[in-house]
Amino acid sequence: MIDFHLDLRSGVSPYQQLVQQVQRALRLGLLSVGDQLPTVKEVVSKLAINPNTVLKAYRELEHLGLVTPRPGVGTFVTQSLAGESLAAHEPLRAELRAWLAKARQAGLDPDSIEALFMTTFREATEVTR
Amino acid sequence: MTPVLRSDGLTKRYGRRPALSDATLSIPAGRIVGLVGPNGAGKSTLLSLIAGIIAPTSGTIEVLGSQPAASAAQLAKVGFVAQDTPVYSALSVGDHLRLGARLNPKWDDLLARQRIEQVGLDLAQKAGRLSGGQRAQLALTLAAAKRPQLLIFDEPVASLDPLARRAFLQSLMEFVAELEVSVILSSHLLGDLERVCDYLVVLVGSRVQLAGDVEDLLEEHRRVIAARGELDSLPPGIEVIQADHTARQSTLVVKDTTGLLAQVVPAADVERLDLEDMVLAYLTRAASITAAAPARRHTEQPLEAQR
Amino acid sequence: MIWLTWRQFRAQALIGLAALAALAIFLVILGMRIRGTYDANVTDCGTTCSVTNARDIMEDTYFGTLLLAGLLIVLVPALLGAFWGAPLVAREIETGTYRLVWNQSITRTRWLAVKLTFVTLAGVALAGAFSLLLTWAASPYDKLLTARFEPLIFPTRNIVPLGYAAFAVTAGIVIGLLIRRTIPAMAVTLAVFAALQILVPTFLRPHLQPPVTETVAFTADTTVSEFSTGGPTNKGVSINGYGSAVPGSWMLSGRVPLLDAAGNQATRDTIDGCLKGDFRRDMACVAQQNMHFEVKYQPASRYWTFQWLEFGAYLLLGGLLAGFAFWRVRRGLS
Repeated sequence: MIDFHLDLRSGVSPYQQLVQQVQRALRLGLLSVGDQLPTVKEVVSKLAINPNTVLKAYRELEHLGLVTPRPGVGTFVTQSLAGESLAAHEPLRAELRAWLAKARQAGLDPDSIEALFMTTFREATEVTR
Repeated sequence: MTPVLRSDGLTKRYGRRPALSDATLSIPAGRIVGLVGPNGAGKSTLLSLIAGIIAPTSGTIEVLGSQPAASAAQLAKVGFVAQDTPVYSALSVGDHLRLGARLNPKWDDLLARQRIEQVGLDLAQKAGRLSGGQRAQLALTLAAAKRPQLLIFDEPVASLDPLARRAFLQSLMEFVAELEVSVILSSHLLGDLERVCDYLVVLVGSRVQLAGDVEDLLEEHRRVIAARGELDSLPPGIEVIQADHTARQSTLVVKDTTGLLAQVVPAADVERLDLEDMVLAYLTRAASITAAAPARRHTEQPLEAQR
Repeated sequence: MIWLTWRQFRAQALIGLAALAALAIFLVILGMRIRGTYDANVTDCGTTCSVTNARDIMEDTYFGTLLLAGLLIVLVPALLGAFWGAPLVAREIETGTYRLVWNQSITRTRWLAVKLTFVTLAGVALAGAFSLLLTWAASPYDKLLTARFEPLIFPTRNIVPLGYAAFAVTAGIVIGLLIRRTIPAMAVTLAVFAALQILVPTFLRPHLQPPVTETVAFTADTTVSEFSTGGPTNKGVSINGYGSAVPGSWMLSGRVPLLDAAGNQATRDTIDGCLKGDFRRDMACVAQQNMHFEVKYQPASRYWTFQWLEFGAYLLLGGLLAGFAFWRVRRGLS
């Protein structure tokens, strides 16, 4: 089962973090079709967050077609993302490797590269949200 | 659904000193409400009025549609944990559960006992010998096991160590998930409130400064950075909450109910705020008004930002 | 709520019962001894005994002990008020537990009603038990000395102690509710009770019913305990201690002037001719001068009326205080 965590300083809203963590787990193959997500009670018991936050995240995942609720039983994964990330996006990965090499040549150290990437990434996702 | 709390001009005065002035609120049900403010702002007073422990000096208050503490039925709907979690020191934990069972018709004894066992409390232990965290868990169980519609907490974690604090919040959130109950929680620890609250009331100097759904409030507030003097005149409907100036630059926290901010300022200069910064802006504003001194950049923060 | 009241009250109740047990043993023993003395000097005593003699023996032997016991009986309601009544609400406010119990599904009115009724009834029962034991123990003494209507004995017998207890406990509760701190409330309760125990016999009890005024002709048979012919500044003749002529009554007049037929106070000169040295013959001489005096008293027949009236008055006062407490607690703490 997936283990959630929360980063209040990330600038990403809590429910969005939960959604992203489920998506990441699906991509990495940690969650597969038929697996059950933790119950709302289990999540809040560990994270001490508002149950509505969890409900909202699970509703969003359902809206994205990734999970489905079974009343009285729990919430189950209905679609996997595992296949997509690695194989289907190999060209993107290669591009990324090339860019990283360029950044290194420009003299940036790993921390600066990460900072540059994160700020640009955040700006981009902000605009599209 | 009936609002959990409706008040109009609610005021409480002790002698000539106002503890709460003119509070007009309408809080919908199903929320976890954070009541924030510095010490002495009136949080305890408001919570005591909601629980019916004290009576207002003027104004009206309605809790779940009736007068607070007006009848046994109304009292059964509200669970109150007062500051420093009062318990009967001479009575054991088991005695307290018996107290709850005898004095509350909707008492869920199974739930109470399960929770006491889960937290690891000994039924025979005298309540006076419990640690702060254990007392808080006992008080929480007593309030929640009567299956109320509203739970009220007055600074429940203020005197607890971080571990006990987290344990308390975990227990509380479990109860909320299970009982479908509304919660009003007062604290001056913003970090805890941020993970838990979806409705916010800011109280400073006995007055309500801000009240609303957290999402809506965060939507309405922005941080704006611009050259000094560029934002001296903003259209009506855009309120400046806090302003910091250097020689060249101004940083403002604004509340925009019109949605026109984007037209006045380029998007790049506008940032979203997180809950803590938004609340601090209001607290700083209120503090500077009462101090009757010009607002300085790093004013004393009367609150803690705890993570 | 009854369970909670008992649970909170348990320790105090046990102390009260222990005290009752100890005092019961003492009073039973005392009662047996008094009965023994009574039998020896009155019932089983033949023609050699006189009532006066028996009375003197009884008084000499038991006056002190019974006075002390009587003091305890009046002290009991005071202590109940301070230790049972005052902390009842004050302690909950002082320790903050009112914020827990006033949030249970029970109105404040009902909460107070159960606590107040329970503890007041317990107090009345305890005081009643004490009073019953003492009244029983002292009854031969009281029968012989006919002093039960007098201020030192009246509050310590029969039913007035129950009234005191009901009042003291209720007063303690109200004072605790107003002052909100246990120790000061205890002190104030004791003070209020003591004040009433001084004020009531002085100003209220004598007037519960209008006293009987009797004009007594001073004859040879008139028994007084004191005949005073005045001092250097006051030349008037007065008498005192007529009470023994009206046994069982409460004599309200102390020293009263001896008056001649015209209503003027006799002076030493008036009766100077009679004072020759022999008390009996002197009195007989004075008796022939047609003198009289006036006394005010409450007759013995009114004893029980007065017991019930004073009991009722204290009960009424307690009831009014209880009513005030209910009104006050309805609107919460402040």
